[in-house]
Amino acid sequence: MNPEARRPAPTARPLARRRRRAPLVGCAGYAAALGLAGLLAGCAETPTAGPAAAAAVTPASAPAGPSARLLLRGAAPEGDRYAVFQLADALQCKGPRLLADGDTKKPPTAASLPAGVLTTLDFVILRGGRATCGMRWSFTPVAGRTYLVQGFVVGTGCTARLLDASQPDRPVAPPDAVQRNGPGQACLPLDQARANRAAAASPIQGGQQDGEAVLNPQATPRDLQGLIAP
Amino acid sequence: MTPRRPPPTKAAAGRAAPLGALLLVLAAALAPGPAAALTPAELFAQVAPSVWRVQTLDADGLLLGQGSAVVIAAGQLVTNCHVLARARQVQVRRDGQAAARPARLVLWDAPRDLCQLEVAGLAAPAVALGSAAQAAVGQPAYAIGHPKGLDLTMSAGLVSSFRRNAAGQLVLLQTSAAVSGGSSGGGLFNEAGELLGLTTIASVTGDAQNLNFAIPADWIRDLPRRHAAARVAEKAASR
Repeated sequence: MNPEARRPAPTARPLARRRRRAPLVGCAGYAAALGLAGLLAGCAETPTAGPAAAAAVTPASAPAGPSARLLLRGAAPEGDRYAVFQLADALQCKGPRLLADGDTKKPPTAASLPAGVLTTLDFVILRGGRATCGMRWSFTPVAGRTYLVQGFVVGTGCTARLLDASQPDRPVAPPDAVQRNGPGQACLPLDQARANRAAAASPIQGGQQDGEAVLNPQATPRDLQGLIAP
Repeated sequence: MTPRRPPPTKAAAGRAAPLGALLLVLAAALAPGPAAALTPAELFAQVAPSVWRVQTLDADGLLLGQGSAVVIAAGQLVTNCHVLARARQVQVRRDGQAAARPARLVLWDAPRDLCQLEVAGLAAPAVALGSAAQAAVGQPAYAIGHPKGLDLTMSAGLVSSFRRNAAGQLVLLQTSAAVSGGSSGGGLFNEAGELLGLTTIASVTGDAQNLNFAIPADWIRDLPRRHAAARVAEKAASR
């Protein structure tokens, strides 16, 4: 802590400035799902034959029950593609199934997500058939809402974000969305991802506790124990 | 210092109505009006005696951190709890005073970052508590505190905005009045010298300017109740 007491700076920047460069997520299966299995040589993992790989080559089918809409918007240089995958195993981040993809010539089409089910999505950039970077989030879609994955190439990497765009002019981060990948981590355990999100929350967002407004619902008097009389 | 009078109530205006328009005008003229605007110099002279520097010490009596606090009642000061983090002793002082005065933590509300200290025998006037609910974006706002250990530094700005939680409840007043490290727990005042909030968060990111935040003074009124409720809940949980 600074010798002079102060809180950390708020992330009061506009949403558009809050994007972070995305670390690489595991790329196994993406090329296969896009029909690019033969071009996967640069990937860290090689797609395996078997049920998982077979599932990966099949685009995700529309959910039967209540659903949410997923839009993809991206930007990538000529020859690159951007795509969103839904992971069959949302907890373990396995089994990518293509939901939508696009490039400079082909705009992506809308997809559907099953509502009320923990869902893990990957945004990836595919360059020369290789997943060069990506972002991974988990959240539980709400029926009838519209979600938006926005991503684009920045230098040799990419940035992306997941938004609830049900109000198109006021997109907000889904309240329960957590980022599952991080430096050196392709699939953070859900609890850890949630803890990271809580720790990174802007101090100006505030919260609620027993119906009353508070600055930080997670704050406890633990740091005050040295002053609290027994 | 005498706490300033509150603005007239709707009930007071209602009592005057049956007496006719002339009397209504007269009643309005005689009724306690909104607190008068002070010049910045007048405001400082009025409230500065109520703003103190807070110093925290570790177990060895070494300086741990410092912030600011505002007197809200005889011997009672409020500050941000984060100013007191990890301290083993706390004291208040002003420049020009030989010795710091020991303080005791008496009320705390960590989720609201609001703590109350008691200082025995402190001869300092209490400020008048304002209400963020009556504040408006664009009105003048003055921050007084001890940034960087610089005693009683005053800065001027505006109430820039109100920051609310997802439920729409007020969480912070945003102000363009400059604050820095050490301002935490200092006062944000309106032009009548009423306390609007405690300066709590300063933006220090490279691309941000004058984005500072104060917890609302209304939370000070809630502090005794919320403190008591939290302690009851803690006891119940420990059984």
